[in-house]
Amino acid sequence: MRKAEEPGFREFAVTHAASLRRTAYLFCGDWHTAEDLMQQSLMKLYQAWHRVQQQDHAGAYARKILLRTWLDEKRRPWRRAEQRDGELPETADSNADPDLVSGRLWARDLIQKALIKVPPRQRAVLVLRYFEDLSVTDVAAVMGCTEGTVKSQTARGLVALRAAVDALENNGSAMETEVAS
Amino acid sequence: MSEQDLRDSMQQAVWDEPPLDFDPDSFMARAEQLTKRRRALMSVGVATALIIAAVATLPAVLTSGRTRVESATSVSTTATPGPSTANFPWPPNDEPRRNHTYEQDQPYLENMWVNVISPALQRQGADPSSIGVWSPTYQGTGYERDNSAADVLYGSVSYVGPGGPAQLGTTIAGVSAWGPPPDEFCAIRQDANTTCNATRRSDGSMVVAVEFAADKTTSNGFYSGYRSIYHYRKDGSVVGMESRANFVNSTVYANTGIPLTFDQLVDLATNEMIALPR
Repeated sequence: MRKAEEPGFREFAVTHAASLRRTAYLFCGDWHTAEDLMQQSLMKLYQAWHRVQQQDHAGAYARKILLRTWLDEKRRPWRRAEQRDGELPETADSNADPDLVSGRLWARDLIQKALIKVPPRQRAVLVLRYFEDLSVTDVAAVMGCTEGTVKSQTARGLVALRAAVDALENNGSAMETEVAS
Repeated sequence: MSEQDLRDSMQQAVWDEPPLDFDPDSFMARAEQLTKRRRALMSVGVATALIIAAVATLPAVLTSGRTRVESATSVSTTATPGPSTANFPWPPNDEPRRNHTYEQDQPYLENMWVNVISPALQRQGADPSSIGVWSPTYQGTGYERDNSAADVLYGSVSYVGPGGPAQLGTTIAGVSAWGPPPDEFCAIRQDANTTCNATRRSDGSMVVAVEFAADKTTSNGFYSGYRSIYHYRKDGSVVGMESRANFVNSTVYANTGIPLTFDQLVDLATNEMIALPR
């Protein structure tokens, strides 16, 4: 990278690092992996920065790199074999609003237990459409597929997610019943 | 779950985001270091590929070095000492000679001409309609190991190539039939106007490249040069291809240069399909 290009990349990296990591987290469901994915993606972007500048939409290009990096990571044998043991239990915060905390915990469960069960490319479409708020056209550009594919992947992803959520809720009810009895 | 619920849940799911520990300075330094390492690795890779390519192509380059002298009229050659043929025993085995007869081999030879030699000659630029008759015959020569059996097939064919009328001489010696090993062969050909070089090929066989380039002959005033390749094969057989200009008649000076280059002759002589029947 030429010296003249460095300030532009540095500014982009600083302003987009957090949002890229959030998207990566929704892809993979783990903040540590998300951090790695974000760093790897920015590194790849650094090497291709001169081309990105000509295209003039670095954000979309960065998302595309992030998605491919994550999909590549998922194909690695040690990632396939990896089994996470879950999160450490958190201590209760007596000052926190119980409704708010409950909603957040539900959302976290949604990501870590339900969304993670949706197949990778469908999950990516859901994240890009409903978290990044991208249009179908933009998602198609990031995914490198047609708009029709995006629509069908979205529909299938929603069906898969709803099934996973139902399973999650049924498990929760069963556990509550066990505890009550 | 509606789409709006999903949107809200995803926004809420990142509420416990750990603090971002992103230091742009250290990131840029690391990126620069990685880029330099990548470039260095690529340079090493390219250098390695170049070395391998050079090693692989060196024998061919050495052989084709002579082909740069395209114009026979400007060739000024001198006798060169015979090539080193150490570790190249000739004949390479004790396989007995076969007593080839033209009557027996005629169908095989006609088939080889139609399917191998003539197409190969056309690939070297010969006009198909100009290619004359190839009339091979077995005959004893000074290059046979002995004269008890005539296992060396000689033939020539006239054609018109890109440079004009030309002639290709073919020599196909059977297993154990050809006498002089490469160094002796070059010694026999030693002459002020002849060069003779032997090159070992990667498959263990030997290629002898001979070029004769004299001044205009005194008898008819024509230039009479030729260039030939003899392929000493591992099985003990030899295939030779010789290229020379063809004079249309005694007064017309038809072609000034030697038509085929060493590379083209090597292509013909090393064609494994050109061989006597086993």
